[in-house]
Amino acid sequence: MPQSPIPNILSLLTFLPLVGAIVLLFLKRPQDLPEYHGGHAEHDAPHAPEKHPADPARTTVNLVAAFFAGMTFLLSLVLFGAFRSDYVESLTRNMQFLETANWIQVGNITIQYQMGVDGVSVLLIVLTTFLSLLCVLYSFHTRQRLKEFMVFLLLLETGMIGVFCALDLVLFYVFWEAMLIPMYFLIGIFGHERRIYAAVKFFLYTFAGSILMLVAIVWIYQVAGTFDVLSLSNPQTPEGKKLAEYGLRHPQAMLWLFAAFSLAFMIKVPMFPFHTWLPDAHVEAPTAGSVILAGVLLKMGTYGFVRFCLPMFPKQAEETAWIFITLAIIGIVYGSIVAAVQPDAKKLVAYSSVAHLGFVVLGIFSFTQVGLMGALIQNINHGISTPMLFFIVGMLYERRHTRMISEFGGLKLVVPMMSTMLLIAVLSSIAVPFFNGFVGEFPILVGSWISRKTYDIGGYGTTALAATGMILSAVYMLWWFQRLMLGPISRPENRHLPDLSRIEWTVLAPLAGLVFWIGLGSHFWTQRMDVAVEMILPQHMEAVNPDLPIQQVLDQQRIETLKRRGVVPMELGTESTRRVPPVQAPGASTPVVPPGPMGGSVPPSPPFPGVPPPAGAGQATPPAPGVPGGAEPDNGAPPAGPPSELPPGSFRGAPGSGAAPSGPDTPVSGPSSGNTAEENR
Amino acid sequence: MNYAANLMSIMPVLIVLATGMIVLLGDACSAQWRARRWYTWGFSLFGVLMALVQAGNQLQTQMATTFSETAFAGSIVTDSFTLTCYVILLITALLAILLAMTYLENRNLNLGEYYALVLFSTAGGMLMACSNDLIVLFVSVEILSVALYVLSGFARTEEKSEEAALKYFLLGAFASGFLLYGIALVYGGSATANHAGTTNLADLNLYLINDGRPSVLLMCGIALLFVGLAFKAALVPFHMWTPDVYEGAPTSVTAYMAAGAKIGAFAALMRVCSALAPIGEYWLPAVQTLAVLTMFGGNILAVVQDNVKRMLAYSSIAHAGYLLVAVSAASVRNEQAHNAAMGAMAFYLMAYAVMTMGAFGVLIYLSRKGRDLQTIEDLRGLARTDTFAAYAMLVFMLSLGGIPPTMGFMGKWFIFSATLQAGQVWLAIVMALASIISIYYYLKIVWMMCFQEPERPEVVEHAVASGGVRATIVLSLATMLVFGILPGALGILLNAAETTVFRP
Amino acid sequence: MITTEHYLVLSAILFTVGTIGVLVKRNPIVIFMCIELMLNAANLTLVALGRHFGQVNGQMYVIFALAVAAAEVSVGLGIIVAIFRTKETINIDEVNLMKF
Repeated sequence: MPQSPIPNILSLLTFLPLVGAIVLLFLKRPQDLPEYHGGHAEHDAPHAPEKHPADPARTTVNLVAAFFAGMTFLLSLVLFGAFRSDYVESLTRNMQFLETANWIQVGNITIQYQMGVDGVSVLLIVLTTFLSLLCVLYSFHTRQRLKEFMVFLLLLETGMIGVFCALDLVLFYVFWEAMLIPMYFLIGIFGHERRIYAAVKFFLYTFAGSILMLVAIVWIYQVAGTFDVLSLSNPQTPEGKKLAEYGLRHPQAMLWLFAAFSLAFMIKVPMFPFHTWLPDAHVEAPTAGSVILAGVLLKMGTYGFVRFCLPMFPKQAEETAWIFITLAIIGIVYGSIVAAVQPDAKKLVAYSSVAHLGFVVLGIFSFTQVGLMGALIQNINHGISTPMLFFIVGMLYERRHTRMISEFGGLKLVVPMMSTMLLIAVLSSIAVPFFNGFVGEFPILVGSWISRKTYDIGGYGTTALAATGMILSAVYMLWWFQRLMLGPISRPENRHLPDLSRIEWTVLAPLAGLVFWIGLGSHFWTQRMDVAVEMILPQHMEAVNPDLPIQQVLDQQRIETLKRRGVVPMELGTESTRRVPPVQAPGASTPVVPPGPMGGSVPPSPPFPGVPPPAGAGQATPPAPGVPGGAEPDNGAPPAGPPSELPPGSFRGAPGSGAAPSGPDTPVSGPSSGNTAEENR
Repeated sequence: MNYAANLMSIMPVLIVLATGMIVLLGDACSAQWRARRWYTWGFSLFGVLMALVQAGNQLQTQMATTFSETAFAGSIVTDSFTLTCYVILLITALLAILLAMTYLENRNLNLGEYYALVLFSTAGGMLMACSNDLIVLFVSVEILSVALYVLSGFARTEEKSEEAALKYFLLGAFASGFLLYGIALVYGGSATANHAGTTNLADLNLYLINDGRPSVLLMCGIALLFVGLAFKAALVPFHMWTPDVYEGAPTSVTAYMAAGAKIGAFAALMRVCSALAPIGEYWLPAVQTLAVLTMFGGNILAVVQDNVKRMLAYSSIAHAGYLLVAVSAASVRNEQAHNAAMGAMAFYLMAYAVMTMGAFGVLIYLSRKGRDLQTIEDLRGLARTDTFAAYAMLVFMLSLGGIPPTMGFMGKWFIFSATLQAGQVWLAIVMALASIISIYYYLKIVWMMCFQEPERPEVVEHAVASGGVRATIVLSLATMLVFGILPGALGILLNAAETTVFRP
Repeated sequence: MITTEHYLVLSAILFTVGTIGVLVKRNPIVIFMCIELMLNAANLTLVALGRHFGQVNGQMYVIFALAVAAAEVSVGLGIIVAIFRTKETINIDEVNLMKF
């Protein structure tokens, strides 16, 4: 396991904000400044975020909070740097920086304190600490009850990081629930007019989902005897085997368990029809609260699907994938249409979140590696573009104390910098190339296109419908931008708004920078997720539509990548590959073909190009391992240069465009269909 | 066994009783004693602590030797469950005495009898936990209840308090009538051609395992027995007295009643249900129905309440429902589930007692001279005026609602675990759903305290801000949080079923 | 012959009468008398069953129950007197400050 330069980095990362919150509790409480009841007092006076009289307590609180948030952010950068993109260890499911301790041991029940990260969580943790730091910075000028605000932000950060690191079901549940309280307070104390209604709705909705998840967690313990996520997700361990066998014997009960988990995550994502808490919560929350809510809390739902639902209940997930895909697409279209008619800017952005996360869920449940990779990147992207939008809406609210779009107009002439930032955020949200949204949405749509699951619902039209979401998002976003920023200045109050202040620059500029960094150099970010994607959705679980010739291309890319890593691919379609020379624990070195979660027999691994399958039924035995992946004389497709450097997940157009049509009649067989070869010329 | 051994086995009860009597006599006879209230208070505390130490010692030895002993010709049993309940009850009494002093001063009620009654009531509860005979159960129920009748009417000059006492007394005596008649019918119904009837729970258990179908007389007796005990535990639909009595009684009495009486009642219920477990299929559905009704009834009725004490009363009814779920889980043939359920119930009783005392402690802390804190409106904006009280109340509300990382969550979790082990999945799901309803009114208090601005932003002078009340609140707070994160430290509670007498 | 069943039936009747009395009457003293009736019905059952089994247990339990009932009476009457002092009435319909 790679060693991080700092031992126990995950626990440090999780509890450092908690320590910060406790330290803050003992500091002196800064003076509350009076509420700003302006907005229409003096039309021509500059409405600057005022300079407050120097209050040392305020400065102290601000600095201490920023210190702890900043230290946590630096720690997460260390974690990010120390994370190795190519570490594979199937016993621990490629988790790095594992920490295990016996937490509770009563009777014969053991709950472990187990933390670990893999490619999926490490990016989310960096996102969390980054956004928390930005929120702390932005909240420096909170007028009332500043100390409580910072305390709640830091407590929230602890909960969020804990959720992403926890590898024990009960530990995960504790962090999941514990994170609700600070959010409830943030909305309820510091929110706007209907804040109590929104806060209670948020809490009750989320709690209802999670309490059923708790019952499911306890039930899983009865079945499998452990709460350890690692062993439950791995059908080769005794506990994982027990869970899998239980699923075979009692499919109905297993479906209920899956449903309980999914309900909790569906409410969190939020998916249609459980999304109704989101617009209220977003609108009524303070700016920093909305940013954290949209930037991190919503990601926990999709993270939950990826971490728990897919590995622990693969069969059930695969069977019910059509429900999720349908709901996701409804979410995309419905979210976009409703967003277009909102008069309130925050509600517009809230509904846009529903639409964007619909894309993410579509990517996850398309059951293709491309789609999953796109979904994970889009997760991060949404965590950058939507906070940016919320920050800007919040800044406008600071200046004019209104969120209604009709109150603005022609602001580009008044606040050109803010307008530029808004344009960046809007274009990123729409998924224009060069911006980060594109890097997320396009692979999702490709994954959805090639997926068997979407094809089964309604043919290619399903994906087409999802793709219209991109058009619809352009509709409402660009229209909003136009109403807000372009045109003449329609109202006299808008004439003298100040442009971005220093803190606002500090908050927006990194986000804008990240937009471009991910948009132009996404490989840097996706390379860490390869191994995780492979683990969560191994090749034998992929559901690629066999009518398409894409499988061959994907195989080839995989072979190239594995060659590049110095790994000899023994048999594609197996859970693990053997390193040369084998150095891992015995569990990793045996190329075991796990029982196919798609039920029944061992899925036939796709033969190597050049080896024609026997006519008739699908192969029962994998081809002889003697055929090395490297030599493919029959394959007329030369490994094109740039694409071969790509990880298997990201798909950048057809590689070597001349290659495919020169068409070897290499057979393509998808893992689930077991078809005879289809010859594509 | 000889006389001394008999007495040693109930030594904690005797210590508490002796303390109570000394306090009573001292207060009655000596004017000097009456003049210095601290004597009474201090001496009661001392007595409770002695009893606690003794109970703790016994528990240690009990866990080491792992067998239980019966005393007084089989009518008293001292096993780990008993000693665990002793500890919980004594801690409750400790917190109750701590809370009482300044509150009573402020309402001009500081009489020595208060402490004597609390001690007697505790002794009654402890006897309930160690009873192995239905008649001992009856006597101890009465000891507990009669002391509480007097305590609830302690504010003699106030109409509400007297009304509370009258209602409690009439309905309580009514239920005792059912209880005694039920015991009589069980005495008769447990007889078969081979042996006479019995009220001894251990013998009853043996007879029920060996005899076949229970007779109609026995079933009637059991039904009446449950009615009587359900009243004491305030289960729906026998809960009618609870809101009125809790609202009318002085707050420190309410705190003690909410915690102590329930602990005693559930200890008794657990004893009875464990003994009757072999014929579980006859009465378990009824108990489960009661549990469901109680959980939903208590929670739904609490949602509409305006008065804080009434709301907490209904919420305590709901918690009785959760405890009944644990009792139901313990009444199955599966030994592992039985042990897990008993441990879960002991843990939850401890958690419930501490958080109830804490929540009422905050209410006492906030009451002014001569006047109790009544409505939720009075709590408005508390986070601004009194941060300590507001955030302490927050933790107690979270714990009552079952939100991590508090002890209340751990307790609920253990109960879920035990219920699923016993195979009663639907009951666990119903409990989860009922918890969702409860969150609403706990959050209502939280939002009223923390999210609203106070009516008049003045600093409220606290008439009752004494060390005792603060100590109670801080202790409860610490317990909630510490054992919420490390419940293993209370492992001794969770193994409460180690040496119980009955085998299902 | 008067068998044990006769006694049991009698006590059941007494118990029922007592219960109805508690539910119907408005004067707390009468209510309490009915409660005593219920307790005594139980006592009668216990004695009869003790005789039936040839044990002394039944009578022993009755002694306990009598002692308890006596204590309850004293407390109960004290409460009733205290109410009478302040309200000048003990009709329980008038004791209704706290409602649902």
